[in-house]
Amino acid sequence: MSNFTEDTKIKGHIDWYILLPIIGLMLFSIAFVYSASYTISDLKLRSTDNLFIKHGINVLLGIIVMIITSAIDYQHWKKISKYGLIGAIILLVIVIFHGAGAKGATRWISLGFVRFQPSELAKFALVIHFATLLSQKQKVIKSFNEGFLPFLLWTGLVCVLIALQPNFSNTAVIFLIAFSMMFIGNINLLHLSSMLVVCIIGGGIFAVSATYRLNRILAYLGMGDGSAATENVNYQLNQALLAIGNGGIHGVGAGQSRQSHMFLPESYGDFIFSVIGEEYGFIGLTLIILAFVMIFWRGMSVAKKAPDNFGYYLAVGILVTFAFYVFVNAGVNTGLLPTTGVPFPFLSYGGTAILIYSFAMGILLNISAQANVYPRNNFEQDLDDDDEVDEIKLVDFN
Amino acid sequence: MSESEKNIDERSDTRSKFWKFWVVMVAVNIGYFFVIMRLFAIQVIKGDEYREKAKKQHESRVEISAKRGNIYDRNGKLLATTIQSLSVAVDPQLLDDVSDFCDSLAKALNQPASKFKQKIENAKGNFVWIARGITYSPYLTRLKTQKQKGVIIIEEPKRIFPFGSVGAQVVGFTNIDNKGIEGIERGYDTLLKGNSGYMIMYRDGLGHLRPSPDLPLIPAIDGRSIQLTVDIELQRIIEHELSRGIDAAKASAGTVIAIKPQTGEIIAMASFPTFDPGNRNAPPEAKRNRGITDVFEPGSTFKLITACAGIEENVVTEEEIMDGHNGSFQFLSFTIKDVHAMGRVPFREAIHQSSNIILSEVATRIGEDRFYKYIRNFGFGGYLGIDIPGEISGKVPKPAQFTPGTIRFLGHGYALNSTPLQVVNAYATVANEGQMMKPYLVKGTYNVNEQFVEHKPEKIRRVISEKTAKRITELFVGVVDSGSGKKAIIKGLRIAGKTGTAQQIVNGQYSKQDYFASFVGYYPADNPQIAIIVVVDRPRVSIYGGASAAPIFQNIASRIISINPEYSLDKKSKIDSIRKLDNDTIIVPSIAGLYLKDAKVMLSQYGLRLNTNSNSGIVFNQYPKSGSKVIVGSNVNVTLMSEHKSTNSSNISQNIKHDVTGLTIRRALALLQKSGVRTKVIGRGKVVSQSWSGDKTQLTCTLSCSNSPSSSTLTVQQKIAVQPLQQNR
Repeated sequence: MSNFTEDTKIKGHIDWYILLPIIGLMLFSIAFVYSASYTISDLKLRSTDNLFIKHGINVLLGIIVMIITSAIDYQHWKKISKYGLIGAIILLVIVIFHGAGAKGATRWISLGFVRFQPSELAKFALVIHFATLLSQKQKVIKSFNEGFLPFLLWTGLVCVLIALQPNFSNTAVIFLIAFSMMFIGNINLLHLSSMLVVCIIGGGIFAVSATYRLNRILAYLGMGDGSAATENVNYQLNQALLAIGNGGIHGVGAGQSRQSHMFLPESYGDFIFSVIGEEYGFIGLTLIILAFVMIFWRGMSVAKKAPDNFGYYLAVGILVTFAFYVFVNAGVNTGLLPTTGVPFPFLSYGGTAILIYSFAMGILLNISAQANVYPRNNFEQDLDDDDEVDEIKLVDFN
Repeated sequence: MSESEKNIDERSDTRSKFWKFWVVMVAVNIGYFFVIMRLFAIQVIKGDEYREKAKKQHESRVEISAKRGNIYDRNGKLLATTIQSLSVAVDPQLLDDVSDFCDSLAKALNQPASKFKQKIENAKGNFVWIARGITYSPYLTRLKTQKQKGVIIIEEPKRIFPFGSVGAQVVGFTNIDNKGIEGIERGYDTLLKGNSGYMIMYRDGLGHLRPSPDLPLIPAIDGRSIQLTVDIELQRIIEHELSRGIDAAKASAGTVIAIKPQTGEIIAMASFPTFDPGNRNAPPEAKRNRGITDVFEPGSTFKLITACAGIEENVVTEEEIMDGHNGSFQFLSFTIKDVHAMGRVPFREAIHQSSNIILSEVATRIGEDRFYKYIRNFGFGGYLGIDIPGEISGKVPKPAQFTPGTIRFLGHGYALNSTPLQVVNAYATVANEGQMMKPYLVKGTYNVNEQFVEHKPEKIRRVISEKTAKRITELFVGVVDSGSGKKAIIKGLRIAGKTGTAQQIVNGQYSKQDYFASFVGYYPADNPQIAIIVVVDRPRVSIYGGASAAPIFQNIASRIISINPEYSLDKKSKIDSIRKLDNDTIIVPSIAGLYLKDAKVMLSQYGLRLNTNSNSGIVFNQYPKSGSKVIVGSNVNVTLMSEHKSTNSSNISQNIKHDVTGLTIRRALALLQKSGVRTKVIGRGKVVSQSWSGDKTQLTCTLSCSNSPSSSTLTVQQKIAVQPLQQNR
């Protein structure tokens, strides 16, 4: 392994087509957050730039974390992935008992100077450990006990703990991430589909077990009973739609958002997508989506060319995670999905999230460096490319 | 198997399942595609619709209220102006020490504490008014700044009347919302209240408003000020003399109108009983401007018209000998009696002694149609068109409706209804050499540029010739000199006048007890400056106009002459009678809450000077305090509340206008007071609508509330607020 990795390492460096969109999004997010937060920041913290400065610092820290992580051989994570996940689970347990509340749920751990959301950590810990497990168990992956059960147990544990916070949307997204990784990791499709059925039923029961979740779903289905709770959900969605719609094609211009002026709840957090839509319009949002599409495509090609299965599963897991969060957040903001609070990767305000996303991106970048997607000017590198490689070799031999 | 070989194995194994890779790839891209399509639908296809909705939510129309104009008398004295006053309300649930609060408030307002306690105890909700419309005082100011829990201090504009009850029926008053209800305040309400403007402001989700230079702003136009023809000093004298005379005659009511014959300007218009315009609960009979709203049968004073018509039509001369039938004349089934029985006397003497019999004879000589024409030409039976609401026309029968006796009764002032104004205007017409003028109360108004626009006197018609008018004046001078009006004599002054005593109709019959005693006159006879009518309602000491009304006329006339021997009304009168104790000492008035400009006017009419180092604002505190005695000409030091001088909308941003519709009163008040806005609450429950008044420093928000909570709490945030902002004045 050591030879292999050292060889691949010198073959290329990180993929600029992933790094640059990410850095761009992160830097733009400073402007987005500033515009979306100054009214509420002024009102609640008596300073228009309080949240903006905090976010700027988080972004800079995030970039540093990403660069450092991208320089760390991703193989190292394989060794500690199990402990990482166990640590994350412990934090999830702690948060249930000692967490700080926000909006009726305990999702935060306060470390004195910083508040920390363990579920953010848990999802990437799960992704990394699943990549480890999948790469190790390929031989026995079709078996129930050895192949399926460990994944089921980890997924169940993490999901139940997050559901207990309670945080249904994160539970659902993390379940889907885990499911996607298991799917791509060749788990027996029968096992997988039975798990899906069981979980959809279980999730459905869980979803309607709390009034606020039921109200949100009813509101989403257009079956709101007109009560304050459903009206409130409708209010949030209506405000998000007004913001996005108000933006039109070109947007109202940077810093001109009016919906962020106390109309949109969480205008700098879960609903920043709407504020961007208002300020930069269809063009702006489309460019952001396209940036993620680009990251996703480049990332998938990194995954494909990853030097080993661990790298492949890890890259896909990370990419799928980003994809889900982007889709869910955009879906909530545009009314495609029921209203729920998930942040938009890299754009929403939030310290923990930015650092952890940066960390994940750093890993992806490290894989990209080793996958030789973006080769150095080296004659040999072409030879190690996929399907075409064989043909080239054939030609050579002929 | 080496490590690398194993890896290659793994990879090939994985790659064989690449269809799963593509499933994920495609699924994710389909997701993104859906998002983009959805965005296209929202932003491109339905973009305009959402933009329209968003605009409604983001912009709100803010009413800018105008300051109500002042009312001045003919010499520029302030009769009505607007001040900022305070109102105190409490939330009984939040107020900790009720008795302590009541005691200190009682001390400050000089009212019994028990009254306040009772109000608090009887309060049902969480808001109860304790005292409203109080002027500024240090205690209240402290109360306001301390923000004691449960105590709500609200500022609202309040109309004040520096001369109190003097001229109250003319000036009128406003309701709690500063809308004119009576008198000039009502008649000129549109002009006085001005035009409120509006501005479009950006609004955020909490209802905070921010102005923007890109949004339209229509400034408010403050109400115009009005100057009356009334001389408030003469009005005061007249009201004083009227009430004294009514006391002396043990009468129940009375009215006096003084009018300038050449122009029709009403110099004074007094009614008794009177009222304090600050007290809206005054009884209705005190609020009546009797000079124009009450009718009476004029009786003998109407003989002027008979005499005018007779002489103008040449059916009688002063020297013609006529038969007085020794005081009793019967015709048909009627008997006409004279108080002063006469035999055959000249017509002149019949006028002097007010012979009903002879005047009714003259009336028959004139003839029904001709006499009716004169009556109408003198303004009876129709509106004179005075510029104050409430005038009634009285009633004169048409010749077609005449019964055989009607002409005789008309001849001595019965069988018709008239207002005191109609009678005095008829005398003023004769005084003005037969040319009738339209009586009016508004000398002029100030236009937008504060320039005075004078109302010109209006001629109505010539009723009799100059020559006839002069003869009539000579005839009626004799009434005072040697006839029934002797009690009106003033030495050295020739007064033309006539007494009147008319029975009132009570329950359809002429009463033997209830009379109107009246006196009308004008002087000096050779160049009349003023015509005055005095009507006394139900005098009990003497029913006769000569005994009850003429002395009042005499007192009024002699006092007017003593202060202004040239009888010229256009010279500013030199009296400073307002609460003047002796020649040099005066009681300082309260000027708290007044705008600086108005405060200056007010102090000057007390002979005091205003001392301040600021040049605009609202008087907040004064020294010496109101009620203290000072030497005339003293300085009054005032502290002013700053008034923002900004003239463009961008400077107004300090004033945040909260939209509080839909909130509970307590929440609304908390929000509004936090931003320094004064509030006024109508009703209980949730705020249904709000309106703004006052200017930048003095912003007041009026909240109308429902008694029942509104069903939806969330639609509230989408309601478009109507809110205001005062711009420059």
